[in-house]
Amino acid sequence: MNDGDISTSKQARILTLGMGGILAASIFLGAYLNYHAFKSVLFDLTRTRLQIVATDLQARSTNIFPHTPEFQNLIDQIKKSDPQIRSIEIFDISEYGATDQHPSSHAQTTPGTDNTMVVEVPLTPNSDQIAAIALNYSLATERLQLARKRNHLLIISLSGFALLTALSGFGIRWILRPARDLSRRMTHDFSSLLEDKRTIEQNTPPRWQEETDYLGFRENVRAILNVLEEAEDYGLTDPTSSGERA
Amino acid sequence: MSNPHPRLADGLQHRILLLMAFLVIFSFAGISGLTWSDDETSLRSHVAVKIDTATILLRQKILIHERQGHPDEALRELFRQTLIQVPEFAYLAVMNESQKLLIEAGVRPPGLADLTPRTNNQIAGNQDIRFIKIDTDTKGRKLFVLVGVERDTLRLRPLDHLPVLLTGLFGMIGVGYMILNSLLESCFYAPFRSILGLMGRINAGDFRVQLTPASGTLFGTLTEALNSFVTRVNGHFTVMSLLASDLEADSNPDNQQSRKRLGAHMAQLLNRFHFADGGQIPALIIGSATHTRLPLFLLAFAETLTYAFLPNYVAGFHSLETGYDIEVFMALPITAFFGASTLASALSEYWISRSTLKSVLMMGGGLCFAGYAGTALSTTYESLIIFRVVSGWGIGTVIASCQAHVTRFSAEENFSENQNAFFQPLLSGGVIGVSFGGLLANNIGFSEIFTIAAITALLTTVLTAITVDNFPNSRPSSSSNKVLEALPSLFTNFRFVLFASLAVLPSRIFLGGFLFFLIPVYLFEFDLGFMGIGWVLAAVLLVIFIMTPPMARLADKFGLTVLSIFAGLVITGAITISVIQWQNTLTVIAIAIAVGIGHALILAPSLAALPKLCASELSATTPVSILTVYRSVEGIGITLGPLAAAVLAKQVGYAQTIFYLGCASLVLAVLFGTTFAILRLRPDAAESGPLS
Repeated sequence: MNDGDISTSKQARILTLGMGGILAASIFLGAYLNYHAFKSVLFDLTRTRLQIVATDLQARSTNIFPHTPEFQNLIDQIKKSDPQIRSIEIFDISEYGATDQHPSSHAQTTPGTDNTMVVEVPLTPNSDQIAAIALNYSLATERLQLARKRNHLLIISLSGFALLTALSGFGIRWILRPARDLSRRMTHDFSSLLEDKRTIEQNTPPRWQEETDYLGFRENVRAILNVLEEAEDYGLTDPTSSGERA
Repeated sequence: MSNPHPRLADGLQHRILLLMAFLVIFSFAGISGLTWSDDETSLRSHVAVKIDTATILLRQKILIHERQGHPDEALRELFRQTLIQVPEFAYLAVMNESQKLLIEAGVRPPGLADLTPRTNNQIAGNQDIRFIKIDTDTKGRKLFVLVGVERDTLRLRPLDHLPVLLTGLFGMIGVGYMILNSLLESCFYAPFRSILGLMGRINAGDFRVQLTPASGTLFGTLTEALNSFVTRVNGHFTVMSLLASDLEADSNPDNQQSRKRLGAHMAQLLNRFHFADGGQIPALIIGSATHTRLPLFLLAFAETLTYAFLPNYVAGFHSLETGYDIEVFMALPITAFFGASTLASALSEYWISRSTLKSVLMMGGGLCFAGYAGTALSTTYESLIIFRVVSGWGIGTVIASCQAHVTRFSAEENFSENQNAFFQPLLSGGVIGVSFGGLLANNIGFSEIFTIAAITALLTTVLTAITVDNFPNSRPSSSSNKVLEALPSLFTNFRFVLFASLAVLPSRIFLGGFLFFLIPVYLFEFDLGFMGIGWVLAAVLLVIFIMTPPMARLADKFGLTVLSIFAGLVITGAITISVIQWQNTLTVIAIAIAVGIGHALILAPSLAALPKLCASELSATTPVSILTVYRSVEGIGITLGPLAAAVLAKQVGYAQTIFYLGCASLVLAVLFGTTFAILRLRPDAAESGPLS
């Protein structure tokens, strides 16, 4: 009999499994969204910072042109001030081919750790020639922080999953208790009724509608059992008696 | 008489769902809370570096500015631009030696006047104020630049992502609610309902069925006891029947009296009770409209995941192709999907009636899985369309099967109420799916979302195998194709034709074109983002979801079908034409909500009027067939909608297309009102048929 043991009941197992699945998905989603939020803020801070640097460089290029030594000094100054900037390269993009490589090809110089920001500036005064300033910067620090964040989230997620699944298991068992109790009362009562037509005296009034329905059913069963008993008394239900009577 | 006691099943459902909601909220809040302070520490150094960099560059600019002797207005403009470029800065100012503010921009913090530039970093109100000394200017002045940074800037930064987290949280609770509800249905309510059903049958003297053994469950022993009682009663009856037969065969005149008495007794028994025919007693299966909830919900969720970005995703293939205008190019896969879905719904009736609900749902889920997985892997426009057709066929099959199943149980009880068992999971899956899809589209790739849809379709197939009972589908296999039989009579029903052509078809063309094509494409132009588009689409579905049931009841109760549909068309049209005056995000959102309200007013009474509209046809065919024809008309409208909107948008642009659709809606309202009100053709005038 399983009626007394919620822990091993199929209902509790299925509901715990379902709840576990929902919690796993929920924790994964929560962790993913948190990770993504952190990642986007982190990259956004770096990107906007370097955007400020690049825009500043672009603004100053209206006075100092890329071929001049002053410009080189400016670049050196900027590189020195920000360790994240790996290199600053200048390309003539008036006609592709004027330089060895187009800046976009430099974006991939160190895949996975570097990124490039490109701004355009006039190459020389009073000319249509345009130079592209490619600001190559490293994202190694950010990626390291992201890796740490992933590990942190993994630990939190796994321990959270274990804790919440255990909580849900207890919760489901507690919630199923009234069903177990009702089933147990009905089973006990019905078995007694079938065995000796006696019912268990209830000290408490019925709590659930289902229990009220059962009480009505019990009275009908009792009536049927009376009929069966009467038939048994006449020997009408004994298979061996049919031949004898015949 | 009402029962004063609560139902155990209701209490269980509420508690389990509350537990789930609590744990899901706890998991989200826990993860966010536990990582918040760490995030703040990690980001603090980056913000500090950014502020330092921006401050240094600003100082250099001011220096150049002062040396070159630009007017103060130029410096003020520089500050304004800097505040836009560096949102971390809340306040910028230039102060002279006598602490007089010369120029300022941004929000001046309270208490700034009390500060003196003795130390570099000070606090005023809710800002950290930096004093940066600039030694010289052309006039020989000593100046200080004040940079104010909101102290809460970093701490509140994660709040920027609160809408994303809340969308994920509500989506997860919605998905969890539907999954747990279905698990409760299959492992708790269904067996418990069977027990109560058997008790009811025994009360009525019916001993022809017993329960499916449920060992290992909470009701295992009770099931066993009830079955043994049924077996015992049937066994006794069998013996009595044998005895009666023996006595009947016995010609001994001494037993004449016994024969008579037993015969009377048997007749009395058979009059009051029903017994099994002998042999194996069949198991009681109690069908319910709720069986279809989970597959409908999950597949609606999977499908609508892609709606916020689908036209834009398709546009990505355009550069590889030639021969199509971009608008038609984007709309074709949407039309292909709905076309396949409509065709599958219309044609699958014959096949559905010959198989079990479980097998049809599993096949539909499998097709959807193949369609979504194929779409995720598609590299060409043609393959994309083919896989959208496959998904559409899967969804169409599932919808037709679920509709037939729900209608089968609706006929015995309340039609309108039970149709909610069909609509609610579809719309709730749609609301959650579309907002979730928008959220994911902002964070992961489009193909990955199709992969998630494929996994969801696979999960649907697995859960269907576990939770849905293997009972036969809507009708016995002897039925021929009733849809084809219903077509001639329905299309010679003048009122049905007018109703379909003036209300159902055009409103669905509008809905299809607006919801699945114009909103995602037009709102994308306003740079709302996919999550915003997802929310707008979800709002439309939510309005339809919330308003349809009460509108159906109201229209049904007061006979307001014509008025309700007329009002729906007018509301849709009147708000929609405002796009010609105001072309902005808020207007489109207002139009979307109006379309939701308008369609709730149109959808609800349309379905409720159907049994009355087709009362005479119902005597010749089945409710499912009429519903299939009705759904096909709806499907044709939704299929044509995106394509029609795309063709129009190519000619006149998106805003004009929305405007023309609004005008068309108003014209239709007049035509519909004239036809049904002035000509006194009431769609709900006929007597109720078997559908009602």
